[in-house]
Amino acid sequence: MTSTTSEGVGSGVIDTAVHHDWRDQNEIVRYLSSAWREYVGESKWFSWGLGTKDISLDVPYMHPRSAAMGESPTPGYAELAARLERSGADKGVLVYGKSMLMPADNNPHLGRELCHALNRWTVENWLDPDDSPFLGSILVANQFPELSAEWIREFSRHPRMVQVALGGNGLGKPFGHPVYDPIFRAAADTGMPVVIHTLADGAADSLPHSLAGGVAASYAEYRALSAQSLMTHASSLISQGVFERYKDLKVVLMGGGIAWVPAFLWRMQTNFGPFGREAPWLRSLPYDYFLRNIRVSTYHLEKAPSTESWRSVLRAVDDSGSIFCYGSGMPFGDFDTVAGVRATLPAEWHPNVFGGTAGDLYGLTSERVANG
Amino acid sequence: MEYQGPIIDCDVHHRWRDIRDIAEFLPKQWREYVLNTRLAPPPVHYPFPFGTNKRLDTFGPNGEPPGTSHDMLRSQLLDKFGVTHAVLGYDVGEEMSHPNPHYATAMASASNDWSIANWLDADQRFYGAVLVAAQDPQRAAAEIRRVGSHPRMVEVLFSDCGASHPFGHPVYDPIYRACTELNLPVAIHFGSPTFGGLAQMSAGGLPLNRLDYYTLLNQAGMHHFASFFTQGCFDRFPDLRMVMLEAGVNWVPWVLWQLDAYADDLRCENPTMTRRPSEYLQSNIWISTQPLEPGPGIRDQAALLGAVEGLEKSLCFASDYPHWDADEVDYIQRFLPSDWLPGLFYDNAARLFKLPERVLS
Amino acid sequence: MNAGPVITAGNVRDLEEGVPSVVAAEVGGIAVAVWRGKLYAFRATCPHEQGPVGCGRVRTPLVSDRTGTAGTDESRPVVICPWHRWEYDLGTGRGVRNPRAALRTFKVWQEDDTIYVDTSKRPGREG
Repeated sequence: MTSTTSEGVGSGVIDTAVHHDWRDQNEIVRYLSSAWREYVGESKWFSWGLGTKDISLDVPYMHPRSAAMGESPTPGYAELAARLERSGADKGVLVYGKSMLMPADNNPHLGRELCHALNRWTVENWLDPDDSPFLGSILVANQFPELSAEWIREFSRHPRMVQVALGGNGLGKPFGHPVYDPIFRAAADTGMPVVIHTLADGAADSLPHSLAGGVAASYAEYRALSAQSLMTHASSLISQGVFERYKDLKVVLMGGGIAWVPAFLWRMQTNFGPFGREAPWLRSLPYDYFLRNIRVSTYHLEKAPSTESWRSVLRAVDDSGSIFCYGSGMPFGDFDTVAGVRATLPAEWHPNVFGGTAGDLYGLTSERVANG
Repeated sequence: MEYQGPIIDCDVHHRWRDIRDIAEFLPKQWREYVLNTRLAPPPVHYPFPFGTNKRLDTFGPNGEPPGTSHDMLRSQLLDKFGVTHAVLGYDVGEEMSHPNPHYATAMASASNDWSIANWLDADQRFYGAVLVAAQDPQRAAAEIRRVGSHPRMVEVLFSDCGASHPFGHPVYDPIYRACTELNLPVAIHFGSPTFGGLAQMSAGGLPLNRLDYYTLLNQAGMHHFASFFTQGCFDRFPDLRMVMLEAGVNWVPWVLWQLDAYADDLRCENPTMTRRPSEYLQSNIWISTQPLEPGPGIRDQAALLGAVEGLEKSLCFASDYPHWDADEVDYIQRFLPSDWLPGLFYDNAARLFKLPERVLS
Repeated sequence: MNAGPVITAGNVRDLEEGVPSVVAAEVGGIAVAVWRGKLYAFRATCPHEQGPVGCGRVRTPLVSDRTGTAGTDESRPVVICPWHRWEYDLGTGRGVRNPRAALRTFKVWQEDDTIYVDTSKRPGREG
């Protein structure tokens, strides 16, 4: 049982959306081979980081108020752990911040090497500390699906690596495309969920568009609609039979809120009658695949007028929060708090949203969450 | 309780039988151009079962294309369901997404002239839409001023098109200025750039088959809808009325609540914004229900829409006849509360189109 | 025209393979179709939105056990509604991919070339 009675430490709350990034790119570069280190360069000789290639991929839309919030946009291990504890969560699943874009690097080879370096950096600096409250995601170089599968088998041996992060879309196709199949096969073989994050389709260098129907004019416009890419990926994962091939596989959709789910799901279900011939390999209905295989992080939660309105919108999909899991999004400027989400979502969902759903995803009992 | 009153159908598709029928309304240069090439740019390639997006029973007895016959429209839609006002919106106006703005503009004028000459006087129940090519907003505004005062024209229509910016962008302001002058609402017909590739039809990659395609087809419409708030269109044109066609309606709570969640950020990025997006719902926004995509339980649809206070006053009926996914009058009544129906079928759209109030018997 | 539950439903020679013919007005209309030498009778109105499924087309369902592959199952024809393209198994009436939707099917047979439909019976093993 997951306790929801207090907001304090030991409540068994799992935060599924914690973004970690480097503060100085040399933190990552030191994990590269000598040749790739030489290619990128190290900034020890010059001020302002000059002397290197900048390895960051960036998003065109920036939170307009984050600089005013008084906290570091890229906290290190100790600061992020402290913020997690202050937030009332016991465990935080690291999903990478803007470094999640790395598989979409225009240079596929550099992107691959940096993804590998990021995974080693995550293991040594964020997961290995004895009292680490963090769990990790394997950022795969999805532009090389077979290699990604090898990495999943390699890094999944680490006890605190709990899922696969697809990150920036390296090939520009919706993730249900058969080219990505080796990644899902390896995830299924190792029992790892796969997380898809909205931000990953928002890279300036990304081949897919971050929204349909034209360019977003502002951060708020992009973020409010960013679940659109999650819909595209979910539709393709279902229609391409990923969940028919891997019946136990879980995919976590993150960064776009949760109120979009009935709109997407009822629409796909409605279209399955006329267009099911496109996918005769499906044995179940889109509805059933979604509820069985897909979980949705609450980050970034919509502002509904009341708790009752949440029940109205989602009652037909999930009246117990069993497909939803809390995610703060920290330290991004639009992060949600445990207290805020708790005050908003119906009380009967809390056990699942704050620990039950994520506990099932990552194989964590509430005791293990609370006691490390 | 079955609704018995008058019905405004916001989305009916009418079409010429032959390319030569519309070509004769084009200037000579473009007449030859379309006869040598094609009317519309190619759609993204997700071929339709049976090769058509129309109801198969809407072809005429001699194979006439759907939506081309006054009589069939009367018998299959108007008379059958008691539709008293049918707003005719072309096939979907896909010609407007042509990459050549000069051609698209000429084609808009030809379409409007064709509609006026062949349809608007043929039946008291027919109403017209001023089709515009959004690529050239100045000339689109001129077209609105040219034909928008025709007594049976009730809206300006953006169709299957985008000029790489969603429709709330200031580049389209000349169009909205003309709409405001003529007191005409603007209709967006799912607004999805599925023809011509002027913008992308889905976020995160292109659909992999027609099941994905149709599931994701309304994404562009959501973006157009949101951009009217986020890009300040209603701040610049507080009296502008906008109606969404064929984009479904179930996404509205999600989009409004996300916009509310980002309202503080939005104010940083759009200093002119003074009201929350949900506050525009009553005054500026209408949404057609088609295609209705009800949830698994009979009451789920009403629960979802009922979560947004007052949303039922913004809903309008659209059949989408003769397209394959047309919604029947009887069908949608099953899923919506009976006290919403007078608004849905008449009162809301009457406010939108400035039609007379319903005579209460 | 027909007083009892059994009605005549035209001449089998007039039926084009896979093209249903609406033969009676009662209970939303009744349609008959022939596919691979076998007769089928079903309600001509679609339970989804009351579309004219009797004016649809009979086709073979696609079957597959692996993504990207497909075969046909000639033994289980479906009728596809001309409106929303919902499909119904003509043997059972069950909605394909819409399991909660069901199309009423009827017992149908021929004597010489005349088609008979028993509007009170479902197609059974005996017929």
